[in-house]
Amino acid sequence: MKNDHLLEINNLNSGYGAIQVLWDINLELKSKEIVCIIGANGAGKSTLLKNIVGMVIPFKGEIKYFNQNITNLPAPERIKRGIGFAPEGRHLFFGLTVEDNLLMGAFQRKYSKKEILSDLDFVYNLFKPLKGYRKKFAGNLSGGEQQMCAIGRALMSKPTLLIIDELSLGLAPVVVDDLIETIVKLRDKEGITILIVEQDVQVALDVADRGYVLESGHSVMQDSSDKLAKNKHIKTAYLGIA
Amino acid sequence: MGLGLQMFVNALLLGGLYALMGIGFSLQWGISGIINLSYGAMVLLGSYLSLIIFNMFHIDPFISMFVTGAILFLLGAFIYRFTLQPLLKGGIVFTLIVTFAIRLIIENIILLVWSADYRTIRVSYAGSNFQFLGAFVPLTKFLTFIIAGVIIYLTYQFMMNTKIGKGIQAVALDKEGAMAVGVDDQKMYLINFALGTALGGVTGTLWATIYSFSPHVMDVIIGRVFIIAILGGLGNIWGAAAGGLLLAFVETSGAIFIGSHWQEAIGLVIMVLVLLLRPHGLIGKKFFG
Ligand SMILES: Nc1ncnc2c1ncn2[C@@H]1O[C@H](COP(=O)(O)OP(=O)(O)O)[C@@H](O)[C@H]1O
Ligand SMILES: [Mg+2]
Repeated sequence: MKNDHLLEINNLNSGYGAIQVLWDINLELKSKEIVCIIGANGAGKSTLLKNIVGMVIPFKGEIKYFNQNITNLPAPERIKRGIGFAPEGRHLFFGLTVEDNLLMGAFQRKYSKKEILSDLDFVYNLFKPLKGYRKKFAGNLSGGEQQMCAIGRALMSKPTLLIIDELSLGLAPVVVDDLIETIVKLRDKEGITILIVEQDVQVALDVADRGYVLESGHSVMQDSSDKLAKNKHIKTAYLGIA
Repeated sequence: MGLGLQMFVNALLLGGLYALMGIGFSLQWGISGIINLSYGAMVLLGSYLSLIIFNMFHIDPFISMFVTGAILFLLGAFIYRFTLQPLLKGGIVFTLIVTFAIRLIIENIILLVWSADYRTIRVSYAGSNFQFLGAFVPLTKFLTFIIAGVIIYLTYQFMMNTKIGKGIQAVALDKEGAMAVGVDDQKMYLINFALGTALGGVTGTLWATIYSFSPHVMDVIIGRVFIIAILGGLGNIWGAAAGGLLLAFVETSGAIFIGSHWQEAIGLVIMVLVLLLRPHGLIGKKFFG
């Protein structure tokens, strides 16, 4: 099946051992879209992302990337092919400096000294505060800076598809605004396709073109952000508007 | 003064081997998450393998250590891949049971092939020695100390400056973060475990040029490496090296001032003291971050 989808998920069923978390999930991403997945805590959003990255292998179903079946491909291979991941909770290497964290992001790449320096520069230009903290331990950064470092680390793998789990969690509103601006810029200027999980539905619909709604492991709705924002169910259940 | 210097030199020479031996165990525990109860058996395999090579081919242990290191590396990789990795989900208790079973198997093989008798490898220059500032230094002990130091340094460089070393660092610091950047976590645990086994095996080979050995030594080794790893902080290379040196100094001076039958107890007392005062070990840092 040839189409213009960068990523396509068909009938995905997944979970952990005997516990099933996701049922019959379908999702597709076109190149250069920004798409969000929203849903309550425990709905299975992170599990879905981990399936895409290869950190969890599904029970059933299919994941296609660039029209190739990657369902059982190991995570390192997927990252090599251009899937960058900023995990929930960031999972930075606290014992390393900011710069070493960023360099770790390029683990799956082969690069020359010159290339890597220009890639670091790119990240430092995108996230100005990080530059001053290059030699600082990642564990000493504020929450917002840590998120920048985590996204920067994911960018160091030179992703075609950037996946961010919980963009705004625990961050001040001004910081979130900056991050949103950066994400839109990454799509507009760099042509990176972006998939984010976001619990703050207002934020999610602000930044994304389209969204999927996950409830207890089922994908219950998908639409453009505008339409989702006007949807009655979304308004009452997620936006707190009666 | 003469006695003091001699004691210092003796402790230092012993400490080099303790450091090397402790690092292997500490890496396995602190990074791969496996408390390897077969570690003593693996060290002894290093001794016996170099004994065979010495008896059959007359190859000096200081040369055959490359072979024993390589064999023990492969053995460690094999054991991790086929016994430990499949059982990791079972938790720490499973790894204890498995490594204890491996210890028993290796012990029985050794008993079968070599019996419980004490063995020695006597190289032609075993009796050579020299004076250093008035202290007496046996040549073989001096060589083992230098080699142990070089191997420890190379191990550290491997961890800090190679791609695989960085991958091992990453999984040690944050497994999820490592997976997120495309580090194959199981591959890193395997290589790290195999490396620890190889360090143990090489220690055994070096050891065999100085001391006689028998299967009983296994338990002595396990007792020592537990103390060294905990003294140094798990998974910490320089910590384990410091722990090895400290234990050697404590044992050597304790043997002189308190009595050699208290040697084991002194080591344990120091370990408990460190646990109470510095729960993360002497260096006080997780891994070498
Ligand atoms: N490693 C795991 N092992 C077992 N169950 C898990 C694991 N991770 C998540 N779960 C369970 O899967 C469900 C979905 O979790 P998750 O995907 O993290 O949801 P979300 O990201 O939407 O909050 C939850 O019920 C959670 O308890
Ligand atoms: Mg989540």
